[in-house]
Amino acid sequence: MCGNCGCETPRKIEKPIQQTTNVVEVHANLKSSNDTQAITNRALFDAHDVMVINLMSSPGSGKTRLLEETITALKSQYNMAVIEGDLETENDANRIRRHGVQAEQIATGQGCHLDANMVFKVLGKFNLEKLDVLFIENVGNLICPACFDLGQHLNVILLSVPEGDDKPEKYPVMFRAADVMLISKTDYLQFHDEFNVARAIQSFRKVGNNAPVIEVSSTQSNQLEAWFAYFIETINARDSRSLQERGA
Amino acid sequence: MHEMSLCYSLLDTIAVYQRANMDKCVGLVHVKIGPLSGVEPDLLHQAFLTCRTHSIGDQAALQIHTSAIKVRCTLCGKHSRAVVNRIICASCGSWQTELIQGDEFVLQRIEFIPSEISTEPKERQYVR
Repeated sequence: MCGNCGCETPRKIEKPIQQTTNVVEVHANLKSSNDTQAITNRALFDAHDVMVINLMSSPGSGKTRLLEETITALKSQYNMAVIEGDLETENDANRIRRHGVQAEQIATGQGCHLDANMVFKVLGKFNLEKLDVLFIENVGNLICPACFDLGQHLNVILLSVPEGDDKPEKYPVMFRAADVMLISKTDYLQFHDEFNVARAIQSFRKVGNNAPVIEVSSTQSNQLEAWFAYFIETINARDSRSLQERGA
Repeated sequence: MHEMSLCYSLLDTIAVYQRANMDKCVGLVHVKIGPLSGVEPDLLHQAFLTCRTHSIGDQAALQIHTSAIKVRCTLCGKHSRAVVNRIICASCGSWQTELIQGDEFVLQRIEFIPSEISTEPKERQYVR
């Protein structure tokens, strides 16, 4: 008890109200309002054969640059569009638009994540009929976005080399949500001896995630090929499933 | 802090049940939170204290029950407890596990109280 920070103040233990008269058992999932909208979004995407990919990571881990490189390499094969989530500015959306791809910005103000309703509200600006892939670049944050299903089909999580290889253990809820983890900015490995790829993968496995891990660098040639291959394979697998379901 | 928006979801759900108990006030609300739900109990409690006034009223209290993480190992088949950043099998050490419990965020029950006792001092009206 130092007398300075308030630690000497005993924590108040509150007592419950005793005179209860009516107990109603509920057992309701409290994320259901967002989850219900997310199911609606996903049904809308499926009806238009649009694959939706949610990118999540810390700010500055290379999400927008990865999108730019992916669009440049694959826009001749797929019709792509992007929803950008940021607290402020249209900077990222403008970067995407320079590549001739539609990008709509959601400015969340002080909101720390996108939710299914925000995504639904902006969907009217897209012609889903003409799209193959819709990327959602979530707000840069390793905490809140993991709690909100947007209706996506795939969660891609980036862990950049400068962040350190123990991030999965520090942010387990986020990294548990990953369908694939990209270790980005691998060109920095030569400057960051303390980042060990094997340790990063081990940290990812410790949170119980069995998903693939791909190393990428958006600034070096041929360092995105594994990501492109995964991307194409995932879309093809989804298309095959859709065809089978229709055939059935 | 996403707990504020989750708190609004909680209050909206409570409001549905309150309509069937119009002659009573919400007394105590029981919520279960798992360590992998992404919901921080203390922050949810703070959000609840801020939001309750204009919805279910100041007499409403929140009791948060936290749950443990339980997994089933897909290799050895055993069930065990885990901690939030080591979701591995306690028996064989494998990380190939399925979550059985620990990511829930559930409104369990609501205790309604008669309207006449809803003017108790505020400091006795919530539970942690």
